[in-house]
Amino acid sequence: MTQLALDHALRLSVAAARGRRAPLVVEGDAKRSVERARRRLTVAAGLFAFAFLVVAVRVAELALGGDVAPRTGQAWSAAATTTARADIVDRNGVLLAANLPTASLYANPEKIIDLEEAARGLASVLPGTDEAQLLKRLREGRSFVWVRRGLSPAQQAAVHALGLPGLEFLHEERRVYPQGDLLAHVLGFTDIDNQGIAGLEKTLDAELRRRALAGEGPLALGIDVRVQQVLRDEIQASIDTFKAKGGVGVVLDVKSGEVVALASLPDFNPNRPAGASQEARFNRATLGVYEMGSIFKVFTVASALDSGTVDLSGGFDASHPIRVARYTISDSHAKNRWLSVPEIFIYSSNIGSAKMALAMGGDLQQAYLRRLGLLTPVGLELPEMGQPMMPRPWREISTMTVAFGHGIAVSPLQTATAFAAVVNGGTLLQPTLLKNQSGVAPEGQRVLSQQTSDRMRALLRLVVVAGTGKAANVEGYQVGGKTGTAEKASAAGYQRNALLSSFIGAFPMDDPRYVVLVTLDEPKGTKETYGYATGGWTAAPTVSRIIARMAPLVGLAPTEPAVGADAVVPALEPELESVLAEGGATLASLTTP
Amino acid sequence: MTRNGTVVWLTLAGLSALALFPITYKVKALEEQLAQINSAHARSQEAIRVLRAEWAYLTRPERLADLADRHLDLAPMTGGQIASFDAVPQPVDLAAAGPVDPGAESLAVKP
Repeated sequence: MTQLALDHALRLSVAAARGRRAPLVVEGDAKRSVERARRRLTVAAGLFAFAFLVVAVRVAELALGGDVAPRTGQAWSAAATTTARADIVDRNGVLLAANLPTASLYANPEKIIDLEEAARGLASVLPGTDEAQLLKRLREGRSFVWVRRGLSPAQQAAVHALGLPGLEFLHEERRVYPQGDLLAHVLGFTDIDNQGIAGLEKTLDAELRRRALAGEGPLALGIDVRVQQVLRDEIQASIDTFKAKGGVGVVLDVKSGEVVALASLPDFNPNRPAGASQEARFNRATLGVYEMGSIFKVFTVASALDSGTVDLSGGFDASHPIRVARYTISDSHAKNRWLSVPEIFIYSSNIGSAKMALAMGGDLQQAYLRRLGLLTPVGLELPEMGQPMMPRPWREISTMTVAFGHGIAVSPLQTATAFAAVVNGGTLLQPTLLKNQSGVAPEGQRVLSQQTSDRMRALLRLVVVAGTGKAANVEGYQVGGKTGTAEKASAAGYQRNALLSSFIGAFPMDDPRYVVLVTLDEPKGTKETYGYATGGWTAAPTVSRIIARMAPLVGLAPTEPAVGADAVVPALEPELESVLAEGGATLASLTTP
Repeated sequence: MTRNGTVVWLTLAGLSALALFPITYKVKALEEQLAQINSAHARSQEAIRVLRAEWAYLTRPERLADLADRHLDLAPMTGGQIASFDAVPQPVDLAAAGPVDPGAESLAVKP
């Protein structure tokens, strides 16, 4: 046995020394322990093999590329510099609203050593901070207290310089409106958390956020800041001259429906909306509804001509005021005779237009007003939209008063939209604040025939050449339009001295491009206007100045040759002459009073 | 034989490790540089945004009108100042006018 073991050991060692495998012959206890060792070795080898396999697979994965992201530095991404809200620009790319980075200061009172010292220090570097109130808020025991949001870089540096612990900055964005008051009512404003709460900012809140996320660049409006400035400036000048309470201005592109300028005065600075009065924040152009007065005669005459109720050669007896119930309808530019349709229009005869509407009938009148979009709210991208007010029920007296713009209240924007349909060939376009990117005129809804529109353009031009709107003329630009003066209604009835004076015009009248509407709220007559505060004396000259300034800006050359006030659109002249002749008048007799 | 192989492989591993060190440091330095450029870029973008807003503020029509009023002898443009190209007298077409004296041609273009 011993001999056998020794012999075996020797054979083993010899085999080991030779590096060759020798057959093992083990038996008994030795065999068991060797078997155990072998099992252990197998397990260990298995573990190692597994580990190597893992390494090998990983190496193969790396070598073959796969989807293993290589460790790289953080490359610059667009997301790093995008803002929470997209910018807004005008039709020429001028910046109207932008998000700017700003720092907001908050305090963690638990980390502040001396609350009183901190409050004193902050009050000294941040003007307008109430030290006592700040201290009270710091002592409330919360661990997060806003001190001031939207600090300027200089204020931020000053707070840094205080060197107080427990004060932290949070980087935020703030909406700024570089144009200031200019477009307050169009743009609206946002709250401190950049949520749109008025104007376009509110309506297009989601769209502005989506654009910013998608990196689609700024939102372009159809507004032209230059025209907007002209409009606002001139209306402000007229408000000052006539000591009016306020004013409204709308400039509309008659071919695309784009709102080129929209002003409501008084206005406010959207950068500091909190300080604005309720009156300043009221958008008179879209939210306010007013009795527009004689401007409605445009729609009365247009629908009467379009429906064939009257012809241009027709007319009505305007020699006596109409008495209905307790009302008397009379003319302010009374001629006290039979008037032809053009005369009714250019002399702005209430009696004539009331009779014209009666001849047409209330149902037809309502149908036309509805087609012109005057009985339903006009859709524009603003939350501030006024609901038109109309007589209910629509009696005969309503038909008569609505014919000259009383008893029905619509927003100035709505009036301009319907007027655009009258002069652009009879197509009602949806007004929009957004820029028409395609350059293709949108397809509108035909509401009047081309012939009616042509005749109306001639009549509107006549009003400026020979009627109540002479002051609106601009040499070379063939302005046509209609005056409107409404007495403001109060609880005690209409007020003789509180007027709403308007002029709505379009130019150039042979191929209208823009509609300009100006309304002044309670203008007072001056020495220059001989005390008159009507639309022809106040709003018409304002429109004239606006057109004179804006036409060159938008690249409209005056008609060649520059013509005076006596000139009528050449193409329309013969038709008008023949029409006037039937009424016993000529163009010359009209233009010479 | 086995030992030689081991030595060769160990040497190679050591060499590649040595080569890897400078590369690692270089990558680190480049990454830092990239981070700096990125943040500088972001700062510039922010600055551009601020400057664009400031530019829009400083060139708002209201201010320009006021400045032009105070410092320039210019009046708002009127329609009468606009003319079409048809109204401008056309220069004589030199090529169509036949052979021209070279001196005269140069005179024509250099007033």
